[in-house]
Amino acid sequence: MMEAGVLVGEEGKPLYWHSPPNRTSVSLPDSRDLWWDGFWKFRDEISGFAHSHPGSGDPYPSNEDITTFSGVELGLGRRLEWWIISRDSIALVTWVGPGQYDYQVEHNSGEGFIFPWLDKLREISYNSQS
Amino acid sequence: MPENNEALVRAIRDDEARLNITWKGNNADLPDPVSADATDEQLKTWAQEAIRYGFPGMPADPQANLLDMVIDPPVGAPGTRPFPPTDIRPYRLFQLRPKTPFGLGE
Repeated sequence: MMEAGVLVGEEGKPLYWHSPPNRTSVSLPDSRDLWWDGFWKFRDEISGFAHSHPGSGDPYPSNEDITTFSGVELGLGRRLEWWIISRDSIALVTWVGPGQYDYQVEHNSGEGFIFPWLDKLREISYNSQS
Repeated sequence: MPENNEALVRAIRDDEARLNITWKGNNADLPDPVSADATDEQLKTWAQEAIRYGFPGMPADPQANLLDMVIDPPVGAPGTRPFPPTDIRPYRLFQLRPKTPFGLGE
């Protein structure tokens, strides 16, 4: 398994896939390309960003995830939807305030929802060799 | 180049660089050059103060804090930063942007 991510546009349209060569099974390293070629280039189109975590069960954001969510939102000047997937579950993380790092996590199995990016994100995450 | 570049009139010496800042959907260069050997801490301190007061291309944000921002290029081998001049950007450059790592950290 290797973590990966995708920038998501309106109606779940995938805008930019992120699977850098230095990714690992537990991290996506800081990436200048992800900021400039992804978030900044598509800043008027994006609704959120999805990335994968290892294993199964309900995923939760790490401290690194939360501080990155906050930093990117401050850079763009607006809030985003942050999706985290595992092999069998999905979490939606959104800022609720009032503090800078006050985010809520909602889980679902994905059943009954259509995520146009989900199958490919699982493919490039869980079918990759670590 | 950022939109406020034409307003930049102060000449830049060989031991100086521009500091480009992205914050709340805006992207602009600090009007005053910075030392080319400045540390990340110094650059972030100057950037935070400038954003709080505002400058051409960057509306004032008195609450700005740059905790989750990083400086490019990263600290590496000697001589690798700032970014060198290019054909369309005849000066050395630092950039401040949001960090983008996910997971357990680096």
